[in-house]
Amino acid sequence: MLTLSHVCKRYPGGIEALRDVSLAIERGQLVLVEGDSGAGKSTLLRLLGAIELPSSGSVLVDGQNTRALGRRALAALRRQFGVIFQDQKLLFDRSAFENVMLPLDIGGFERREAQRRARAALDKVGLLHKEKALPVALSGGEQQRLCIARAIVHRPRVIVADEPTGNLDETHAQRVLEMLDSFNALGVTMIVSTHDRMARERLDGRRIRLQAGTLSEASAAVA
Amino acid sequence: MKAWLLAHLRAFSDAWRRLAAQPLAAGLSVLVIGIALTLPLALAQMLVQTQRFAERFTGSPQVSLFLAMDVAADQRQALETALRAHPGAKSVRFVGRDAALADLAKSAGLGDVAQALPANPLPDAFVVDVRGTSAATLEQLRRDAAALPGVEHVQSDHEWARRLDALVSLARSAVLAVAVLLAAGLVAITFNTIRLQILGRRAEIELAQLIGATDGFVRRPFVYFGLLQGLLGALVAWILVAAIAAALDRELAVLNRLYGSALHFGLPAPLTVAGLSGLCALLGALGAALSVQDYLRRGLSK
Repeated sequence: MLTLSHVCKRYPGGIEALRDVSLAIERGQLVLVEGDSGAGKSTLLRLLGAIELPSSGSVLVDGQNTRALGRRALAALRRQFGVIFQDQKLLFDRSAFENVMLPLDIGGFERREAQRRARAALDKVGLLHKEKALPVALSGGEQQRLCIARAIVHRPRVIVADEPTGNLDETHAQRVLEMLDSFNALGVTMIVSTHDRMARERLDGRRIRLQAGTLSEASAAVA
Repeated sequence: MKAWLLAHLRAFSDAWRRLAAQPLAAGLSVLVIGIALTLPLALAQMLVQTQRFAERFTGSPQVSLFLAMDVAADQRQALETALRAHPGAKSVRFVGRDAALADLAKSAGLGDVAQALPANPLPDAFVVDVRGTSAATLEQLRRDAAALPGVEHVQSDHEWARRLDALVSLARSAVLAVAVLLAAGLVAITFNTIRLQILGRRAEIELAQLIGATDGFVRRPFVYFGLLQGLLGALVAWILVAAIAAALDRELAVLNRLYGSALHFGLPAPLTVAGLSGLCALLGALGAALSVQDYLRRGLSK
């Protein structure tokens, strides 16, 4: 379903974030991407989520090469993912409800159906009672749950979560991890990057490790 | 189709909400656009009224057709029919040779001379009032008339029509130049307003793009904002033009009483107002679209 083949990613300035990475992820898998800070975890997730394009090699999503897609097709592909960003990217001038509505607006959902889904997603993460609150009025854990609600609201086939428990205390981190686990149990492919020990212990799935941009151990690398 | 319509309705309401949310900033932009548009609109209206007044003041240009002496009555009748059917002819009047001589004798005080003549030397003639004041129409009518059988000589007072045409054309070009400049100004103002808005909403736009927003989704609310701003700017301009017209018409009424003239500034036809307002709205949308395109081009590589 998701296939990386000899992928390299270089940023301006000559920084090489990923080097010759090959990887295949099957539908419904839970993949834990481990590695130290700067190992290339976020870059890998951005490539898998079609947010960035590889400098060389190919990223195939259901057989579609992300480098070969036009802007419109790439946007359509991105709508199939739910992304939990490391820096959250919440809109601080919009209410929790409006933040969650954004993917549905982009997806062109009918208004009433969109509102119903947004409330259901907020309910799922336990934030329905705070739908009118601005993100600034939410705690760190609530903000993270809001990010999760935004990532799941359009029922994506794949959720890409970049350090979803970073900066959370143990209780909140535990709750977030339970949620991610429950989505995977429903058949959603989960790709989670983390260097959090508890996340590594709590989540049961396939583990891959990145070290200085190289995939040092992977259970299903492709040639 | 429904999703497309919904997306546009949502973008429109978003644009309207944002316009209403910043009344001072949006109001000032609209006012600047309105003032910029007032000049060409007022000049164009003045030009139209001047042209109408000139037409009334100078009367219709005429073409006189002098017939050959041997033209029979039925041929004359055929000539009159052909002239009346001509698209450039407003009215056709026949002046018989006897009437022409009598008129000459009366108007020039040449009664004795006319009586002394052994025969009437004047030919039958047609006097044709030309539709409009266009020199081109006048010239066309003159040429067509000259080619008709039985017409010996054609005389037209087309010089003044040409001069008027040239003056109107010059003024029209000047108004057009001002209009083009200010239209470019409208596009530039909108471009800049939208650029500032984009900067203010950069986080939202970037997030939307990351989670699958198309360029169209990003562009739409800004384009509607530009469209509304242009439309409201045109509305302000028309209000200002109406105020100028009311003030000038008061002054012109005094002149009209003193000189027995019928000058007035007035307002253009509703269709013209609607058409020009639509054009301003489109220019606003164009400025906004260019601004978003510029941002997108410099934003994400894909």
